[in-house]
This record gives sequence, C-alpha cells and structure tokens, in this order.
Amino acid sequence: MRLPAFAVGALVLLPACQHREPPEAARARATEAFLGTQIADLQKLVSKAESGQLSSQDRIAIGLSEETAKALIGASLPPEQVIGGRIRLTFESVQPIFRGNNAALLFQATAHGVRVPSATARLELGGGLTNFRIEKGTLTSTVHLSHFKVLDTSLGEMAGDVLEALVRDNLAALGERIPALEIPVHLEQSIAIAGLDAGVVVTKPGVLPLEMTLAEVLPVGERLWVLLEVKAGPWQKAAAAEKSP
Amino acid sequence: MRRRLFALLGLLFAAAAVFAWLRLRRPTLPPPPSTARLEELKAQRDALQARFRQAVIASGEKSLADAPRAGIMIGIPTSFTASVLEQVVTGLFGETTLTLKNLKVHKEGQVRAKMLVRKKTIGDYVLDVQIHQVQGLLRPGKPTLVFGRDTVNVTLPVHLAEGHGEATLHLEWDSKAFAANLVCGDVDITRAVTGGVVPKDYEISGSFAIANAGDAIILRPRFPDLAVRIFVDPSEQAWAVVDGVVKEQAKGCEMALNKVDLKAKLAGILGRGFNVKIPQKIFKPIRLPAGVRQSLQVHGLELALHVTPAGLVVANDRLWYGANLAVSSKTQPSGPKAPAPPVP
Repeated sequence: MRLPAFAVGALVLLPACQHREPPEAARARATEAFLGTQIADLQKLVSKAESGQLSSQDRIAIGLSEETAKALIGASLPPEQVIGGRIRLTFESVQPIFRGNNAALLFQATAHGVRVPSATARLELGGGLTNFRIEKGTLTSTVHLSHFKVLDTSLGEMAGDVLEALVRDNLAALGERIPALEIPVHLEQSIAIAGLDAGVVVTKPGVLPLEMTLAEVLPVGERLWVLLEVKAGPWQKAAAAEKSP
Repeated sequence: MRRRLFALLGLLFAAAAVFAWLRLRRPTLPPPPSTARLEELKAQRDALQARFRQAVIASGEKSLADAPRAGIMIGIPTSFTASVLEQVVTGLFGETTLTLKNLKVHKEGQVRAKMLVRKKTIGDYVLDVQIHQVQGLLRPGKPTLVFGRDTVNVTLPVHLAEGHGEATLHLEWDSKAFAANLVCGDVDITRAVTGGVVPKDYEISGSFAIANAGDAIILRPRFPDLAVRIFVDPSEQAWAVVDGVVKEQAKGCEMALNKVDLKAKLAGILGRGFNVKIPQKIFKPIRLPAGVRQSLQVHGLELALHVTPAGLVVANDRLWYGANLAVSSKTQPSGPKAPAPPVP
C-alpha cells in the first residue's frame, strides 16, 4: 500500500520540481510588459493632443509627483493583514509610477506563516489608481491591485505555490484594505465674500458658487496630472453685511 | 509473474510521470528581456512623453516649463481667475448703497431793495434744509483686468445711479424796516420736500496683489479710498413747494421773497454736493479655490502635512503655485486602532 501512495505523491509533486524564475528575470519581464502598455497608451494620448482633442487651458491643473504620492500612500499603508488564516502579509513600501499615461503602484510586501513565523516570503504586488473623483471638495482615487509575484521564499517551491494561490484568491480583498489616495488639495465649492456696513457705505455680502468636475487624469512624466473643469458664478447675494468697527 | 507485474507498474508510473510533467509543468517562458531591450523601450516611452509635452505646450500651455517644480503643483487658469475677480468685484459693487443721513445745509443773508431814494435792507432770510436721508445706488460696469508680474490691475467703472431722498425745507423771513414789516411781516415756513441724486460716473483703479498664502493663492486688494461726491437733485415736487412758499404770501411779501430767489439759493447750497468716502476695505481678499491641505484623515489616522511653498509664478495663461509636502502621522483620534480583520 505504501508504494502506490508514494507513487501518487511523487506524481503530484513532480510539476513543482521546476525552479521559480529568479526575481530579476520576473521583474524584467513585468517591466517589458508595463513599458509596452505605456507606449501604446502614450501613442493614443499623443494623437489626441496633436489633433487638438485634449483641452487643458481653461481647466485647473493639479500635479502630484511620484515622490509625494509615495509619501502619502506609504504613510497610510494598512497594518498587517492575515490571509486565509494562514499567512500574515505586511506591506513594506510602495512605489507610484506615473508614466506613459499609467498611474501604477508597485507594493513590496513580506509574508510570514501564521503557525510558522520563521517561514517568510517576499512579494511584489502591482496595481494602479482608478476611479478618480471629487468627493466633498476632496480629490480621491481608489487603489486597485491587479497582479502580484512571489519574489523569493524560504517556504520552498511547494509552499510558494500555496502562498501564490492564497494571495491570488484574496487579491481584491487585499486591495480594498489599502486606503484610497486622497490628493491633498482642498477644492472649494464657493467663494464667500463678506459685506461691509460702514454707515454711509453698505455692501451686501455674497457668494460666488463654483462647480468643479473631473475632466482628465494624465499620469505622465513622473507626475499625476489631474485636470478639473471649473465654472464660477453667478454671484449670489447673501443675508447680512459685517458691521464695520 | 510478480516481477513482470512490478516491471509493468514501473513502466506505467514512468509514463504517468512523463505525462504529468508535460501537462502540469510551468509553461516554458522565453528568455527575459535584456537590459538593452528595456532601455530601448524606456527611450521610446520618454520620446513619446516629450512629444506629448510639446503637443500640450503647442496647444496653449505656454507656462508649463516655468511652473515651480514641487511635490504638488496647482495651475489656475488666468481666464478663471479673471472670471472670479470680475464677478466678485461687480457683485460687491452691484449691492452697494450710499446713504447720507441728517445732513444740514444752511444759508442766510439780507435782502436789500431800493426804497424811494436809496437801497435799504428789507429783510433777513434764513434757509435751512435738513436732509433726513438720501440714498444712491452704485452700478458697476465691466471691469478691465490686466495681469502683471504679481498683480492684477483692475479698473472698474462705477455709475452712481438713481437715488431718492427726503428733506425738510425751513425758511425764516424777518422783515426789516417799517414798510417791509407793513407789507410782508415775518414768515416762518417748514415744508417737506423730496429729491434724488444726480447720476455721475466714477472710475475705481487699483490692483490685487497675487500672493502665496502658504497653502493657496490669495488675491490681496490694494485700492485707495474712493471719494464720491453726491449731488442732491431736488425733485419737481420740491421746486413746486418752493414756488408755493413764495406764491402763498401776500403780494408785497411775494415780491420780497422773489428778491431772495429761493430756488437759486437752494440750488446753490445743494449744488456743492456732499462728499462720501468709499473705504478701500470694501474690497476683500479673495482666496482662489484650489489649495494644498494641511492634514488628511486616512482610515482614522490623521496625517499632518507640513507644507513648504516652493514658488508662485504668474504667467499669461496660468497662476502656478508649487509646494512640497512632508508627511507625518499625527494622532489616532479615536483611541488605539483595532487590528484589521483577516482577509477571508
């Protein structure tokens, strides 16, 4: 009975008897694919700009550098996450890449076994910023995780595959744990101007309403550019003037 | 027999192993791209980015190259800034009233007339006008805005439009000399009159300094006080009252009062006008509506953002503001953060 069991076990393990690709090779492959996407997206963007279909002049432009985005997302990375009751995953760092009309994020994470903490693995998780929106005067976007790679592991090839499967199954949920990126700008919805009551001269206060809508998101040249369509007015008079001392 | 069975099983196992390896092995990947290939792609990407930048500049974003490079950059179109300024300035002036209250004007004098052989004083008059209230409305025209290096020069035409007012006219006539006293006597009349203001055009000139307020761009007004002179314009009713005051007197008295020429006196004292100072503080600083935040709340964690302004550039097409941010975790407002639940 022992022989058939061994045989079946050996058959199952056989496919794992291949070495995981070195991290450098995996990264080079991913970089090539990402650069290809950037080039394709940029070609579309360039033809849009050159044909005059990209309007920016009357729009508010907000540019966020990769470095500042890194500091903002890095400061708000979620605490340790437990995946499937078996793996503790910690986000170590993030690298935003705002190039080639792609707002990509590359997270470095480490994984430890829940029961065997000495078993570790290093992961790279990739994704991007999506769903840009203005909410109550705040410019926000959602972090979306789309792929990952186990870079190296002390778990062995088999356990590495198990880890990959676990992360793959929980990738969307992991992405939801990463806070949305709030671009740190305040966008006022109106400009209020106080009136004046100086006895002889009385000016009523008023409000200039503003309407801002998201027009374009352009991650190019290591900067995330957000263009906002903005309309001002008409002026609305308010209730009372301030009494002049 | 047993040996043959083992040999067959061994053969079967070997075949299954080869089959399984072929089916389940990781796909054979092509060799990873070389560094040279990646550099080539990066160069292609960078060239496209440069071409895009040129296309954007050619489409009108002339000042992009001059914008202060910083962690966060905000470019506000001058067309939008001009629209905000225009609407705020005209909005404020469109709701401005000038109200003069309890003004008193006074005129007194003697009336002399030829009595038989020589001129004699026939009476003294005292004319008082108490303006209880006169109100004028300002109507702004279209301002002219000129963007300078760090200012926006504003010229605003303002029209002092129609107004209205109420006043009391008081006339005292004290007849002198026997003959005058005999034919006229003394007169003491008070009448309510109405009037308006004489429309007049003014021009307000000043500027808004474009300044860095730390986390946003602010437009600070620099305007002098505006001196407005309001000329009261007696209404038809007022002139009719004056005519009536004269005509209701006895003939001799009417002649004496005609000598006073009440209308001319009234027009003279009101024609000097009244000065009103429109203080420069009628203009308020205007904070442009996009600025850098000083803190963020992320999943209950408060992040303090230390904002260091990096520059302000006023160009023809945009006002550029740049700031660098240093992020530090402040406090957790609602006690210790609960551990995140495990991902299922």
